[in-house]
Amino acid sequence: MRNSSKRLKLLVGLVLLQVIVLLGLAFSYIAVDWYGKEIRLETAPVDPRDLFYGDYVILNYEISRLPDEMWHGGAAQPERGQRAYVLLRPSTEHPELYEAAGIYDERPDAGTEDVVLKARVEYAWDGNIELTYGFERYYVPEGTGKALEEQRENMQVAIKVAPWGQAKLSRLIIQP
Amino acid sequence: MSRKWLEREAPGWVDKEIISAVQAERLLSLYDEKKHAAGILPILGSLLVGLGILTFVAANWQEIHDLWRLVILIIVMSVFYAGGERFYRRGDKKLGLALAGIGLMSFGAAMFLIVQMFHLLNMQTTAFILWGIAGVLLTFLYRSTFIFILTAGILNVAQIYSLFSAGTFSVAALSILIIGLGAFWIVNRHAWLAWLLGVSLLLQSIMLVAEQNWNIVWFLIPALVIYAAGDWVHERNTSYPLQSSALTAVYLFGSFMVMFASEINPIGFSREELPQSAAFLIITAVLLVISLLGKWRNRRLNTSTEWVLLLPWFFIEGGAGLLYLLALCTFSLFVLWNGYAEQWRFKINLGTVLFLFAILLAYTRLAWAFMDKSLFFLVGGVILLLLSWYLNRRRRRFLKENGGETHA
Repeated sequence: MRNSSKRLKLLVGLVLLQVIVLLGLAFSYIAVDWYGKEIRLETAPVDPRDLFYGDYVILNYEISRLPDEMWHGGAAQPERGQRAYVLLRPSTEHPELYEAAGIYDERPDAGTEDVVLKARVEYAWDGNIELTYGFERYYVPEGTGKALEEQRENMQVAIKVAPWGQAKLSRLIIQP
Repeated sequence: MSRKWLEREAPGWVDKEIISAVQAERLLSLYDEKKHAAGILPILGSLLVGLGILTFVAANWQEIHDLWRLVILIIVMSVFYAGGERFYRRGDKKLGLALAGIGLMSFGAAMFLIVQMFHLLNMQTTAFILWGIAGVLLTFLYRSTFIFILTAGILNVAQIYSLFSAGTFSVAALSILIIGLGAFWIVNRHAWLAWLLGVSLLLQSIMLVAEQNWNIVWFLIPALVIYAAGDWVHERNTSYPLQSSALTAVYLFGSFMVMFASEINPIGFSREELPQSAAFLIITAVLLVISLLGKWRNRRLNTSTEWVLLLPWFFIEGGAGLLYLLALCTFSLFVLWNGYAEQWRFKINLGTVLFLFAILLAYTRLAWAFMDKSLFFLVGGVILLLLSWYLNRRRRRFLKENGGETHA
């Protein structure tokens, strides 16, 4: 009997841990919403052509493929799977849109207007560096993906970036 | 099935006065099928409810606010854990563990819901890892093989997901598998757990080999390591499932070699591959020696026949497909033979199925001009007939010599 009451205590602890993990996951991203700075990114056409996959939309950005002159790392070329930091600056023509200014292997110092995003190098090939940021998917209600896909030509994406570096996709913006 | 058979046979034994009617009753009560059937139902039920919860998340429930969805899932999860503990405590352990299993499933479902709600693409592998850790802890908490199996499944899917979606091998998933479930297995030596653990380890090794773009044959090394380690384990019911997992993986590899011999490019002896091949052969030789010493120490040298499957036949260019086919057939016959020797029906059936499978594989090879398909089937059939004739003769002779007093 004593054994089973010890188990109960451990079980309660284990369930509480799981609840904390769930709440932690959720609130860390809600906090990004509260304290984050919103930036907008231009999307780029995706390959494969059909960007609607089940219940999510695949997003590709202008900053997903960058020329390798932007690389400022120790090695001549970044390695596949390597962590990288992308420095973003407001575009001169459209200040609400952000463009890449450089790729670094360590977090660079950023100006007040600048934003740094953490990325992963998918591959470096043919003068380009392909990067993923973790917001390449946008989950949509079932049946609404196709309508979004038709408007992808003039789509922008709003990203919230928290002061501590966490970034999340906050919404899709369809330009009229 | 055993009870049905017993019900049919027992009256005959009573008539022949081998056992009394009371003894027959007592024997029958040992094989209470009701108990057995009731054990399977909660497990199947829990799997269905678990799947239901997962699809519930995937389906649309857009109308509910994000936070409420989270609250609902946390409540569902806690209720299943609490219900599981309640039934477990009352002595209904199967149902209790089934409910705890659903609790674990809903923890995973809740994490993936959060991933969807916040479009957290790069958190998915982490979510799988956290899920696996919760599974390991729950396995230890209830000392349950059922939750062990669930957790092994979660960790293997985590690895597959990490590889196909993120393109990286998850060291975390492999470590939790080895450390977490490995520790549980060391404390609770259950035969099937050893097999499952071995198969999971080899599955993850194959994925590591694929991710690193190594030649596929390198996965044979971890398989050999597991096999050789099994030889050094004294207890037969621990070493046997462990070695079976390695043999299962190598049997599958052999089947692929038979079917796609020309498409798979194993390492050979060309100038740039020579160092790799030499290293492979040396490591294989060392492991085989270790295996042999273990067999010798535990007086199991007769199991060396299993090597027919483990040897690197792919080095023989041109004939690798045929050699692997012969290796599969020979190995299956050994299993069949040992099954008869040990009078173990499972092994006899397994050996027969493996042998028929190997023969069917021959059908996929149309390219062997020198050995016609029909000839191969003919030879296979004749071998089986000869084998059954020989085994029957041996059994009859054995019965005669022992005056019929045997359970055969």
